[in-house]
Amino acid sequence: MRKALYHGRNILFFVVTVLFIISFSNILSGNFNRISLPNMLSLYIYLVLNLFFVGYLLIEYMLHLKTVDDNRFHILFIFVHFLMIIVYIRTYFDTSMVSVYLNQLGEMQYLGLNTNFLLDNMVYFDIAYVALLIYMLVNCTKKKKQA
Amino acid sequence: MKRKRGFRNWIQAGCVFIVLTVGGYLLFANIFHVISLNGRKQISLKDTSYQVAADLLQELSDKNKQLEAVTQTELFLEEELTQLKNYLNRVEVLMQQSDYWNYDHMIVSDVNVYQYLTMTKEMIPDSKSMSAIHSLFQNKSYHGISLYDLFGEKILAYDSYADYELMRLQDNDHYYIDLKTDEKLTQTLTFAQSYVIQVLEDHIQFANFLLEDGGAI
Repeated sequence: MRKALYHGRNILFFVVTVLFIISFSNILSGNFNRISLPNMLSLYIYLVLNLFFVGYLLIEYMLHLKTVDDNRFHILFIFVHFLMIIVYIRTYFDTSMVSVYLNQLGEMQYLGLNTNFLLDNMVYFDIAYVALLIYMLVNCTKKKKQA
Repeated sequence: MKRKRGFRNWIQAGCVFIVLTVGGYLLFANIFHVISLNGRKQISLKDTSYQVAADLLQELSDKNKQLEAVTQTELFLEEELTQLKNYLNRVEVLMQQSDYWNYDHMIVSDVNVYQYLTMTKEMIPDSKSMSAIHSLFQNKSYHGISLYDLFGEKILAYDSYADYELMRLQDNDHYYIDLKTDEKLTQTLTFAQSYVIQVLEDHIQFANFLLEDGGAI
């Protein structure tokens, strides 16, 4: 069970990271096409946190940190990433956005909708990531002291 | 040591609380979104304003027929009068040919409202032909009132409304920042209908003026 949660967590993180790379490149290409974009601070914070998690998961695997065996952490991690996948799916397959695209109302409108929606939700991703990060770091400290 | 561990446990509990709160919010927001997609608001478009617009269009058509008999007016030269009559006929044809009259119901969504507004915009002659009409009003006055003040200003302002709304829809912000997006979109639809009525009323008023100036009334 613990192993399944651990692997499930890693797979979900990988999927979310791939989706993020696709979205990030789409948003940046929108920027190159001179589509005015809203404040992207939340996206940059997400990028930094995501990179941090990539690094942490590698270190966690190599040093076998305590979070590897923490089921509660796995469940929280899976919960957050499951929601992220839903938001990414909605970003690209939401009825309203797809209908805008299919009705050919302009690439700008489609990209605008897409970007706004994703950036709005990224604020929540950031909050959840920071909370997970603190949880994780506190857990690691705990392990050190106990060892 | 125990105290420190207790403190860390509190921090972890706080983190779990934040994740559950934010995650719960996202989860419910998505569930409500799916529910709202299924129960999208549908509004009837063939209401009172639709009937008023249909009657006004008939009236404009009658006025244009009456205008055919008018060959000269006091204020306009024969060539100018022909240009004005052509303009009014063009407005009538554009209005009649529009899909506006075929819409019974509409599910309120950004795409549908966008199409409706595009249609409303196409019911009005383009800026170029309106500018040509505008030039005919220059330096002309009726009982001391400038014709530009009477009609010119209004006619030139016609295409700006739909353009403005379409631009706002493309920008999205105006509609998507608002929590009551559907209400905002419905208001836009209602306003578009009253706008069509206003355009028709102003053109009928102008046709009446030409008929009066030409001695047909």
